[in-house]
Amino acid sequence: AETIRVSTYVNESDIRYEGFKHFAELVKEKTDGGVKVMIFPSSTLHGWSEGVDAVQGGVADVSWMPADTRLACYRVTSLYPAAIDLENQVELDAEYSELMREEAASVNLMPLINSNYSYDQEWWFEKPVESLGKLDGQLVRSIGPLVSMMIENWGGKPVFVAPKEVFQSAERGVVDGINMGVATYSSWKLWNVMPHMVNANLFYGNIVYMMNKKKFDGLSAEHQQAVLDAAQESEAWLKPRYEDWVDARVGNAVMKGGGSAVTISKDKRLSLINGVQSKWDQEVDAACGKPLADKVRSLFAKHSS
Amino acid sequence: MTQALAKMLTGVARILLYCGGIIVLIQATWISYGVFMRYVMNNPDGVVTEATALLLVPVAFFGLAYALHMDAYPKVTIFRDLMPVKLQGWVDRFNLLIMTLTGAFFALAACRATLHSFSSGAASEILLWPRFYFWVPVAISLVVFVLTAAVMLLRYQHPTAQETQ
Amino acid sequence: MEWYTVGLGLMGLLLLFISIGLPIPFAMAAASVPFLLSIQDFSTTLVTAELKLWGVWVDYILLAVPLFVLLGELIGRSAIGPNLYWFMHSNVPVRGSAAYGSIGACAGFGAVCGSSMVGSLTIGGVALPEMLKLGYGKRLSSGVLAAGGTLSVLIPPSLILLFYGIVTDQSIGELFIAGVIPGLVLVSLFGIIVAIWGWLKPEDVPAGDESTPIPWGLALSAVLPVLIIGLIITVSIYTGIATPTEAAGISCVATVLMAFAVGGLTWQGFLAAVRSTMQTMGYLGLLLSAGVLFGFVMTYYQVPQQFTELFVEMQLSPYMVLAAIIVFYIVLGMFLEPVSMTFITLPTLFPLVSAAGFDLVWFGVIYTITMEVAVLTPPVGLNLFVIQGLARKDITIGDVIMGCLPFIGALIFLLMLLVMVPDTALWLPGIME
Ligand code: NA
Ligand code: NA
Repeated sequence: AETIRVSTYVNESDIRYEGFKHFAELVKEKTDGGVKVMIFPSSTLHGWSEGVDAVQGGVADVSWMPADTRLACYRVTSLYPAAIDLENQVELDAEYSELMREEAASVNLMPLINSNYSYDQEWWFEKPVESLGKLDGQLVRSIGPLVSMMIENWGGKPVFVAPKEVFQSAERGVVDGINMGVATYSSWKLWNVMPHMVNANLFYGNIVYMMNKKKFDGLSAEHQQAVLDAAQESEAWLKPRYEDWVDARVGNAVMKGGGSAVTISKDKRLSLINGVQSKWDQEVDAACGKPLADKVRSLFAKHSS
Repeated sequence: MTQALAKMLTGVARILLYCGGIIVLIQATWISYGVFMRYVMNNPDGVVTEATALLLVPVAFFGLAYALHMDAYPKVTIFRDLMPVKLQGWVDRFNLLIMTLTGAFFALAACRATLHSFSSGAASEILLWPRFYFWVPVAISLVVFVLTAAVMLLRYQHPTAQETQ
Repeated sequence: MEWYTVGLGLMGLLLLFISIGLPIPFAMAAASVPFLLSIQDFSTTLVTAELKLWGVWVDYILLAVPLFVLLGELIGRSAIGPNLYWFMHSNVPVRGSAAYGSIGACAGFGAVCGSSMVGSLTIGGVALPEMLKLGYGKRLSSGVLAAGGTLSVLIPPSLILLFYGIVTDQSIGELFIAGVIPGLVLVSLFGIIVAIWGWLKPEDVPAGDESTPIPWGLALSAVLPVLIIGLIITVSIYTGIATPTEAAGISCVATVLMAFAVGGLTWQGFLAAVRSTMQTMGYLGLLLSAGVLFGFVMTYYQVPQQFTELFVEMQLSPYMVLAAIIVFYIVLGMFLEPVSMTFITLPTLFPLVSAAGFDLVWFGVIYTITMEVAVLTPPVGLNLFVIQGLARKDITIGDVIMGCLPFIGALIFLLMLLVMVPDTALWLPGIME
């Protein structure tokens, strides 16, 4: 049987790992065992930013794609400031991937599985925050250029802290806040340290798992279709489970730390996004070219909340 | 011929070594500056964390050849020391051969990575510094290491033979 | 291939290579490559090596390693080490003051140095000739200094605790603080051993030490830098001024300045410190790179996971598991040096400890103590070699080994104390929260 090695950063206790297992079962079913999917969790095969190299070099056949300059447009749009309605998330992600297909193909990659984490994007603070738009010089951990731009735009100071030092930095007050999904937040046990949450929904966030295109093209047409169908079905299967899992964790996080949970009103959210979006769009235009940039933006507009 | 080569390699190993030393001092200074800017000036340096982490990559390899010259790699020699002298010689040669080959494997990987990162334009995630810059010194360090190990293998003499000369 | 075939094959090859004297980093790489080639074709193994080399070293946490090594080397090559020892035993009107002073100086040096070998080398280099000159027994002198060096890895900063934290994903800061009290207990135990030794074998401890008293200025120039650096490391971490890695950077800069300003560091000494640091980094560079390759093959075949399952199925009581692991490390520690051991075995074994329900910060301290034993036990005991190397003409390796035995006893006693009273390690990090 043909083997497809899937590499992921999520660990075995993450609900998204169940999603990959479901994908593997669907592939096995649909191909009558002709294609076997092996899953390598917890970044066993390569580090966070090495997805492109790992798949191009054959270490993995499928892996998550980080913000890599070789995927210029993907780099600035897979995390994009927009208020997104997740009602038709699977279709939205499929269309987004479709827009990235050409760029991916130019580096021998093919979008296969979307891992949309827009539902899980929180900001956590040591002290309650009145408004995310008025950070008053607070030091907030950032993960990349877009988040840094947001923090600066709202009057805060972005700080980069290595993952392994986040807990200590948060605990000891090296930073006052962090932007982080509750999945990571919980696994790092930050409940007592950063208990005050702002649930913001300020991004479209999708980590696309891409496959080595040559490897995919080498499969029979039947098997290709089976793999594609399995990918989309497992996305749909995972969506409600992932949302429940996140909800449970957010509730748990706020209860455990004795903190507070704030959800931003729609008007506020749009004003927070707008200030950043216009600036970020310059980057998007430069990276994607105007026509593709417009297509991406109109896709997000179609699915806006 | 190998003597001249050996001498040259010793010199190169020293140069690489001090390059590494300079980088460590830069890292220490930059980190301290970063803490000052964040804690005292409340104006964090957005570059320092990723930059100093990237700089660690060459630092980890600059000292390879020098460590080989200084025989600084940890090893267990009790069993080897029990062997007859002639066998010791062969075992030492075999070990140098394995060191040359494993070194070559890593060197090949680093050279491939250098060429690949140059043509693909792979970059760090936040700073977008080309990875190429960091792979070049790693590849050089490993190649110098392999040459040093190979020359040592070619010029091998049992330690007791060296003493009597 | 089945996981046990791979596990046994890897271990067998590794042991074979190590036993014929192949340096450990190469032994690990050479054992892994054949198995790697059974998973992937050659060009893919090169990509794997590339990803692993890059992945292991683009790590901000590891940045603390060269910084802490350089810090210790700078102090070691300035006059701070010798003056610290001088200060610790001059003007102390106690019989055996040079021996107690050695322990004190090792402890003080331990607060700025993270490697037990550098600890033994630095204080031993000054104290060993002095103690022999004053008429202390060879075994007592060499034992106290070989063992004293190990205080450097229990008292923060500590490279072993740092590597332990990286492998097991525990907080480096918490581990550092957990080592403080056990470190102080160990200092006291070492002191007690010297007292008992002097009582049982009076001929080993001269009646009075005739040493010239240290001038106050010199004493301050040694004590203050050590105090300041020790404080920078602990205080900056615990007040939120800096992360542990940043603390390493700041203390490194402070050390350079102080070693030149008041420590009498020469340009030659500075260059020697840099060379020595890079030499250590050279061996660590390959050791960790080979270690991740080795670990990659192991996890690819799920060796650690399967091994853990097998062990858990045996349903040993938690303390049996713990005892087995401690005995394993003490035996293995006879033959391997700590850093190699950490990267070869810890990824497979720490899940067992975790599964048995033990606190991983606490176990970090236990683990570090077994590593201290490792550098003191023959046939491969780094500190034994270091001390014998300092006085090759006067002292045999047998003397050093015999001299270390009571101190190994103290380490074992400390292990038992930690098992019976876990708060010895956990109390301090607990109240810091
Ligand atoms: Na220490
Ligand atoms: Na030993």
